[in-house]
Amino acid sequence: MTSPLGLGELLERLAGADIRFVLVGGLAVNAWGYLRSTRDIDMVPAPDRKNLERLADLLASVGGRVETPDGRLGSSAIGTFLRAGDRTLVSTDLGPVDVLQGHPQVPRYEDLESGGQKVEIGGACVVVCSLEALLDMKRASDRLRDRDDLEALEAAHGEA
Amino acid sequence: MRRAQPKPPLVAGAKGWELDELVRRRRLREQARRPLAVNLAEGIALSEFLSSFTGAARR
Repeated sequence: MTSPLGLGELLERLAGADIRFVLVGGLAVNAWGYLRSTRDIDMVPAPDRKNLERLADLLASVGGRVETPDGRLGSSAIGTFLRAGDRTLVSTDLGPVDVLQGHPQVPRYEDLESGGQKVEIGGACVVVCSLEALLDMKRASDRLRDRDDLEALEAAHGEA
Repeated sequence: MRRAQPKPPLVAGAKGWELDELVRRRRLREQARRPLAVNLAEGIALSEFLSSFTGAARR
């Protein structure tokens, strides 16, 4: 049995828990003007240990489980995976969170944060990656969805 | 109170698919000019709404 997503609530909880991260992926695509559905929150967290601990705690508090090719691991594994610096997909009661770290097509947190845009949502503030960074990530991908995003964003912002 | 400016007409004589594409691009440009917070909130609402039908859901 599945339940509808609660991405808004999840994003507000992340932003309200003093967790530093930059929003990328589908929600960033929406923020920059191409409105389409997305299934998860894609984020690049600040890589310092305390921030990753806060992120792991928050994800565990909303029923987080690490998704791996071999199955789903308990919430205690979240911190271990995040500290390892690898990409970690966490399913939660409110929807999936794709934590992007060490991904060759995704810039470092520091670079994304410095060029990002602060956006108010539900009384909290999140940082959305810059349009340029988003387009670069889309150009580096050969997925059909990313190509569609790229075409739409370029049309929206007059780069087509 | 100011009235909203009427939108300029699209290309006269355009075929159906061309008109669709012009409308799509105009809508994209309009959305791109809005505040990021507005677009983000709408994108979240759209995703949550559609997930209740498609089952693209939490678990």
